Amino acid sequence: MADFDRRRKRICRFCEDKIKVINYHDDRLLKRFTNERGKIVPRRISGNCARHQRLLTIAIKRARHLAIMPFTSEFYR
Amino acid sequence: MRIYETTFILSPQADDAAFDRQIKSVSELITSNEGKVLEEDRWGIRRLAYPIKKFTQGYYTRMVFEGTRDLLTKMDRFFRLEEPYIRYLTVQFEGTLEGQEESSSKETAAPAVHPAPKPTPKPTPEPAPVEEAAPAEPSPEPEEVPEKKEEVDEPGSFSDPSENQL
Repeated sequence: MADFDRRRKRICRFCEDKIKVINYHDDRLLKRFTNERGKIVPRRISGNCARHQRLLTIAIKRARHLAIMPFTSEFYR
Repeated sequence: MRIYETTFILSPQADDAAFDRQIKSVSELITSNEGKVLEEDRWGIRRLAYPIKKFTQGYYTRMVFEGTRDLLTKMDRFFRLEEPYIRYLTVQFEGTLEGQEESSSKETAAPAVHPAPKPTPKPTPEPAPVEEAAPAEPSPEPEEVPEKKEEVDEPGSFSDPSENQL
């Protein structure tokens, strides 16, 4: 458990920049938190804090509804 | 009257004049229902991340407006019935307009938990007996209420004294 904390010393990117609102129209920002298949990256990888991860998830899902982000992008295989 | 933001996609099979007309219908719908358009943001034609109604592109527009809940129901019907609007999404506005305070409330599908409403600043220092988690003295200084709110929050968070009778 302590190991986990050491690895995850990184601060949440959003907290660092003190961002309060995650814009669901900004696909470039949101894409950074999805993998090649279009799935949302888990928190232990992205390093986000709980709060921002939740906001991020909501933003991504909204963007998906508006076809700004894909639900899935499996082009090959 | 709340501030909302709606983003909608128009079918790309139209010319500029038609887009104008369609967007205008939306803003007119707002204004004719005691609403006020605060911001209009046209993105133009954009690739869709996935096909919608067989289209691969669409004309995006974003609009921020002020309106009533009735207006929302009307808009919903409008978007759903009219043909050129192939997608729409209306949310409560987050972020700031010029010189406004931020409001961090999101669209609530279900009446979600209310983030501990400020303990109603009782003008007379009644010793709030039901609030079990209130170590804070009920000193009625309104300026201190927001600070005290943090104290009260920790132990009792989300407990609305009227609701939470387990």
